[in-house]
Amino acid sequence: MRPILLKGHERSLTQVKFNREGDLVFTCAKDNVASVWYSINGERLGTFEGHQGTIWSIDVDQSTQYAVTGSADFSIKLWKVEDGTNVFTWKTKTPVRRVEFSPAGDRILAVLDGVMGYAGSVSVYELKRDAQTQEVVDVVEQPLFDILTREGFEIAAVAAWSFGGNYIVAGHKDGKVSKYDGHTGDFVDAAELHTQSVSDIQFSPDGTYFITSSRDSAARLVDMETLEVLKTYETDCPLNSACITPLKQFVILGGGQDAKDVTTTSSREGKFEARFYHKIFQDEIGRVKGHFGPLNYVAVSPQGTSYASGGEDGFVRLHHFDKSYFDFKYDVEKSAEAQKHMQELESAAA
Amino acid sequence: MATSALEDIRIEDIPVDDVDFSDLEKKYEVESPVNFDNFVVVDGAPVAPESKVPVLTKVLTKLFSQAGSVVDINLPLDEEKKTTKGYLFVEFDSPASARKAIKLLNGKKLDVKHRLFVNSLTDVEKFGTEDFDTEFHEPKLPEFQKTDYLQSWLQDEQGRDQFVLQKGELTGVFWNRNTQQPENAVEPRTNWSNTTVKFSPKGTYLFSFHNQGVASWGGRNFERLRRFFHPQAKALAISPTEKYLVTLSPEPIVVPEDAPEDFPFGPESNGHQLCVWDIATGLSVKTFALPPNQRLHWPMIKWSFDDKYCARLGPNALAVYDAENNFELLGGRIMKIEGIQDFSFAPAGAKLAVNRNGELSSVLAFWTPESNNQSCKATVMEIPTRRVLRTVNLVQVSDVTLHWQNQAEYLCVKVDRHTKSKKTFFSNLEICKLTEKDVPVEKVEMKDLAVRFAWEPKGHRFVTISTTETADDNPSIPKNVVTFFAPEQKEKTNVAVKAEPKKWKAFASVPGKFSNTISWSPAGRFVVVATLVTPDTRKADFDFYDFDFTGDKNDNDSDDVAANLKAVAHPEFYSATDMQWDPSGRFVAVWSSAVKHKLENGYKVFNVAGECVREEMIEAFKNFVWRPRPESLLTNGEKKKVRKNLREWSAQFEELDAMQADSAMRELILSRRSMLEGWTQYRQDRAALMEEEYNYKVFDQVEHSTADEDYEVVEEIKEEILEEKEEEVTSFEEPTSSE
Amino acid sequence: MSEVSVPPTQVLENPDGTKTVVSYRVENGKKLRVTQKVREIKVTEKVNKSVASRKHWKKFGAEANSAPGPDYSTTQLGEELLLRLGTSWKKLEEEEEQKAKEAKGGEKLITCRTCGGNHYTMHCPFKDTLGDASAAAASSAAADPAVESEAAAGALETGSIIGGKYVPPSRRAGARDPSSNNNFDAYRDQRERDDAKTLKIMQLNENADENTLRYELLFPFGRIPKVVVVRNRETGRSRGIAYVTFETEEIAETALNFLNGRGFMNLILNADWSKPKVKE
Repeated sequence: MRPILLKGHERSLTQVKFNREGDLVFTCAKDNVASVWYSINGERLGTFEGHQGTIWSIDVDQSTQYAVTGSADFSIKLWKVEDGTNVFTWKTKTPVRRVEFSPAGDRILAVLDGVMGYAGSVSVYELKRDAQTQEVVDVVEQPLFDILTREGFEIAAVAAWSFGGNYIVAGHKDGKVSKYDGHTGDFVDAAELHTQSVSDIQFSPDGTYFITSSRDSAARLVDMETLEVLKTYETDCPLNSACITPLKQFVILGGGQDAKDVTTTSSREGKFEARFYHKIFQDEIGRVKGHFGPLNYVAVSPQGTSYASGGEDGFVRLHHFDKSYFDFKYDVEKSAEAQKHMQELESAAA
Repeated sequence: MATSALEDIRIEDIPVDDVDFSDLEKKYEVESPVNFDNFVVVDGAPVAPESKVPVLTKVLTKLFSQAGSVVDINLPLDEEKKTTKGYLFVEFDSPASARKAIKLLNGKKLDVKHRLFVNSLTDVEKFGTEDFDTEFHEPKLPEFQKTDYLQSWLQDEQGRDQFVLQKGELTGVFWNRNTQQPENAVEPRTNWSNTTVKFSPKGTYLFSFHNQGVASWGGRNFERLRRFFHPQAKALAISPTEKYLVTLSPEPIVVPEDAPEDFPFGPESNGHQLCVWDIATGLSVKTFALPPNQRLHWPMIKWSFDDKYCARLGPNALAVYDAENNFELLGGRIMKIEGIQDFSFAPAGAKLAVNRNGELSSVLAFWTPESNNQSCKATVMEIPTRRVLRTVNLVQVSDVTLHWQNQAEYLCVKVDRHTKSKKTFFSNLEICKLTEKDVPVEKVEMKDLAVRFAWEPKGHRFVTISTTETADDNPSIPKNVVTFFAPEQKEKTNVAVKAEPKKWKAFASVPGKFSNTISWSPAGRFVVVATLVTPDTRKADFDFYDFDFTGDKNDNDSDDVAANLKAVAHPEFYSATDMQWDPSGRFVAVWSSAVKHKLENGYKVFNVAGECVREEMIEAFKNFVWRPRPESLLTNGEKKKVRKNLREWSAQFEELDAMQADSAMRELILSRRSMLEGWTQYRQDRAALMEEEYNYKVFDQVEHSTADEDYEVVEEIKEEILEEKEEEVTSFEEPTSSE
Repeated sequence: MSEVSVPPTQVLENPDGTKTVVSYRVENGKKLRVTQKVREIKVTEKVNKSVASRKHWKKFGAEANSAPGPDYSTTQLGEELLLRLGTSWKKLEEEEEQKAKEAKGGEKLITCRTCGGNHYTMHCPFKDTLGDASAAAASSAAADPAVESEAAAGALETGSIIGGKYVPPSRRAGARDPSSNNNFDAYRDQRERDDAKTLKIMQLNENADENTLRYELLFPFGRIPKVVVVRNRETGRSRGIAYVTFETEEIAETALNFLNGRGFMNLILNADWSKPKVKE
C-alpha cells in the first residue's frame, strides 16, 4: 500500500471528506483554503478560495454538485464543486465548527461556537433545489431553526445527520451526546457517552448507527435509535476522529497527543497512527503510520476501498487499500460466511 | 465243630467245570435287539406275480448291494392276488449301509413306471405313528436381535475417521484427531482378539479371531454381533459388499454324531476347512474342502464386485459359484482351464463398451503358462456369460501378475519375461482398456524386471518398482528403480483429441532405491513409495510424491504427460514395518509392529505433505488399522460443488481445528462467534424496526448502479515510482544531485 | 505546523521522460532527503458516468492553470507501507522492526552455536575445541587450554541468551563438569572416559553409514551416544572404519565380543578398543 501525500495545505488539516462515488476528496485546513482532489492519483482539481479564517469543516452533497464550508470567519459558504465558485455565504454569529448536508441535500446543519455571549447552537439552514437537476434555486438566509445548547450541557463540538435527515446527533464538549428531531430541532434524547469532549461523530453508510470519538481516548459505536453503546474501542491517546468502514467490518480511529506536547517526541511515541479496530470484535488489528503530527480527521470512501487522513502536520495521506486488507477476516467470520453460503446453496438446491 | 469242617473246604477244591449254567444262561440271556437302523423300507417297487418274486428279489438284492451287504430282503405277498405288494424291507449289516442305501437309492428310477422310495425303518416308525403330528407348524424364528446402528461412526459431526491401535494384549478403537491425542471411541479391551483385528471393506464390521472361531463387532460401542464357530480359524476374508465372510482353519471340521441343534455345519461339511458365512445372520452358507496338494493363496475364494459370484482356483480348473443361487456351480460344472495359474475378479463393475444403459459387468481375468503347443495366455472373461473379452498371447514368460485399476477401467497384465538364454529378465506391461471397444491392449516395455506395480486409485497413472541387474550382488547397494508412468498428453490445450489411443509413458524415475512398497492415497494424486522393514531390508524409508504438483518446478523428465510430479518429502521412520492410508486419503499411518521386530515400536501419522502430524512410540505396539468407509454417496456433481466451495468449507474446518487446539482459543472463538451473532441479530432487528417505523431500508454499502450504460472508460494519469531512496543529511542546504 | 525549515520539493526533468523528485523531511530529529524517480503512466479504468464527467472538469482556483496530471508540488507518492491486519499485528511489527534494525546495524544476524560469535557455526575458530560434548570427545587434544577455558566460559554466558530459552548450564553446548574448578581438567577426564567405552570397528562395508550402523548393527546395545564413520576427505567414501561410543564400558565390552569376527553386510568385522586401554 503506497499512500499518496496531498501537500496542498500550508497548515493543519481540519477535515477530509470523500464524495459519494469516492472519486473526489475534499479537504480543508487552517490555511483558509479548501481543496478538492481526484482520489485516484491525488491530482488537485481545484481550491475554494474566499474564507478569511480557519476552515473548520467541509462537506459535499450526494450528487457532488455543491460543497459547503464552515469557517472561523463567522461564515458558511456554499460552493459549486465543478468550478469552485462561491454560490452563497451565510453570515453567522460565532465561528462555525462543523457543517454537514442533510442526506437529501436540502438542509445544512452548522455547529456554531459558543463565544461572545452566544450559547452555541446547532443551526439548520435551508436550500431550495430544483427537483430535476438538484440545482440550488434559492437559499434561505435565516436558519430554519437553532438548537441552542441546553441547560446542563456544554456546547456542541460536532453534529451529524441520521438517515433521511430524521435526526441530528450532536456531540458535546462534556462528552455527552444529544439527539434532536431533524425537522423541528426538538430535543429527543441524550446520553453521557464520554468523559471528555466528543471530537467526531460519523454515521454508518445507512445512517442507523454512528461512531463517536473523544478526547478521553475512547471511541464508541452507538445505536442511533436508542443511543445505546454497541461497541467500545479503547486506545491510549486522545482521539480526534473515527469512521466506520463500509465493505469490511472495521473502524478507523485517528488522534494523537496535542501538537504542543509532542514537538520533541518521536512520531511513534506521539501515536500518530491511524488505528484499525475490528468493529464487532473490538480488537485492534493494525495501524498505519506516516503522519508527523496527530491525525485530525479520518475518512473512508463510501466504497470502502480507500481512506484518507488529515494531519496536524499539514498533510493529507490518501490510501488505497490493497488485497490483503480486503482478504483479512477472522476465522469466525470466514466460517460464518461459509455456513451462510452453504445454506444459501442448499436452499437454492431445494 | 461245623466251623472246623468249613475250614477244611478250600475253594480250589470245588469243581466248577462240570456245573451246568444253562438254566441261568437262559434266564438271563439278553436277546440281541433287532437293530432297526439296519432296515430300510422301499416303496414304489413293481407289483409282480408270485412267480416273478425270485427274479425281482435277485434284481433288488443286486441293486441294494451297492450300498452294503444285504442281510435279508423281504417282499411281502398279497395273499389274495398272489402278487407282491409293491413294497419291501431290506436288512443291511450296518446302519451305515442303510444310510448309504437311502442316500444312494431314494428316488431311484427302476424303469419308466417305477421309482423307488427308500426310507429307514425307524423313520417310518417315527413318522408313521398316530402320535406324529402331521400338522404344519411355523418354524420358530429366533427372536430378532436388535443391533445398534452399524454405520453410526459415519455420522460423526466432524466426519472424523476411526482407527484401531493394538498394543500388547490391548486393542482400542480411536477417533483420529489430527495432531491431537486420539479420542477413545470405546474403552480399550484386553484380549479382544487372539491376533489381529480386521475391518470389513466398507468398515461396517470389525472381526476378531478366537480359539472357537471368529466374531463380528459393530455399532457405537462395538458390541458383539455374531459368532462364527470355526475352531482355530486362522484367516478370514470378507466379500466386497460385506455380505459374506470366508474363514479358513487348519483343522478340518468334525461334525459330531449328536450335533447340537445350533451346530453350524451339516454332516456334508465333515472334513472341510474353508467356510463361507452370511455375515448378517451368522449362518454357514457353504463349506469347501481344500484341494489337495495346492499352494495356499489367501484369499482362496475371490468375489465379483457385487458378491453375485465367487470363484476358486482348482488344479487345471476354475470353479465359479453363483452366490445368489445357493452357491451352485455356474452352469453346473467347473471350468476346465489347463494349467491355470492365477485369476482375479475386477474390483468394480466394468463399463464395457458393449454395455448399454450404464450396465456393469462382472469380469475376471486369469492366465495360463506356456505349454508344448500353447503360448502363455492372459484371458479376460465376462461372468456369468463366460464370454472371452480379450486374450493376450505372450511368449518367453517366466511369470505373470494381474493388476486391476480400482474402477476396473484398466487391467495391467505384468509379464515378467526372459531372454532366450534365460539369463536376463525384464517386464512388459500389457494394459487392457476395458472401457474401450474390443478391449484394446497397450503395451509398455520396460528394460528391467518390475517387482511392484500400483495403479493410481480412480486414475490413469501408475508407479512401478523394478530391479536393475548388476554384476555386484552386494545387498547393501540399492538396486531398485522407482518409475512413474502417466498417459501421454500431446498438447495440453488440445483436449478434444479423443481418437488417439491412450499411451503410457515413463516420465520420471528415481534409481538407487531399496523401495519395496507403493502405497497410493485412496483419493489418488499422492503416492508414498516406501521401503518397509522386512526380513531382507532392515531400514525403512519413505518418499512422498505429488502427481499434480501445482508449483512451477516439477521433477518430470518429460512434460508431455498428464502429470506434474514432485518429490514432496522424505520423512524418517527407520523401524517402520507397515503402512496404511486413511480412507479419506489425507493421512498415512506408518508403524513399527512388535510382531515383526522389537525395535522402536510405535506409529507415526503423516499428512500428504509428508509432515508428521502425530507420533507415538509405544512398547509392544502391534497394529494400526484404519476403519474403511463406504463409497461417498455424493454424486459427481455434488463433489464438484464441494470442491468449488472448498474455501468456505475449509474456513469452517480451520476454525474447528483452532478450537480443538486449545481451550483458551476455544473460549475466544466462542465469544467471537456470539459477538458476531449478536451483531447480525442487531442489524436484523434494526432492519425490521426501520422498515416499520420509518419505511427505511438499512444497508451496509452504498449501492451504485451496475448497469453498463452508467459506466464509461476513462484514462488516468498516475505516477509510478521507479526508484526511491532515503538518506540522512546533515543539512538541508546541501546541494542535491540530479539522480 | 508545516515545516518552516524544510526546503520545498524539487522536481527535475530527466531526458528519458521520467522525473526525479527530491523532498525533505524531519523525522526523529534527523534530517532526511527522499529521492524518487517517477514515471507518469496512463491507465484506463471503467468508472461511473458521473465520475467520468468529473474527470473532464477544468481545474479551478489555485490549480486553474495547471497541466493535467498530478503536480509534484502538491501530490507525492509516499513510501510503501505495510498494513498487516491481524490480532497479533503488534508482535509481527515488533519482529519486523527488530529484523530491520539488525539488518541496518549489521548486528548479529548469525550466531555461532558453539561460541555465540558472529559467524556460522561451521566456521567457528573454537569448533574443534569447544564443539558439543560429543564432538569434543572425538577431537584431538591440540588446543591451547587457555583459549579453551576462556571460550568455554563465553559459551556458558552466551548459551543462556542465544536461544532465548533458559537452558540449564549442564545441558548447554560445551558444558563442563561444574564441580571441577578447572575446565580443562574436566574436559580431559571426559575424553579419557570416552575412550574407555569406544570401539574401533574395521572392515566395514563401504556402504554402511552411521544410520545403517545404528539401526542395523548396534541396535541391541541400547543408546549409542556416538557413531563416526571414517571417510575419505575428498570423495566422502567410507574407509571401512567406524568409532562407536557406548553408554558404558560394560556394554562396550559386550559389543566388542559380539562384533569382533561377526559378519555384517557380507564382510567379517574386526572390532577392537579405540585405543589400547590404559591401566593405571
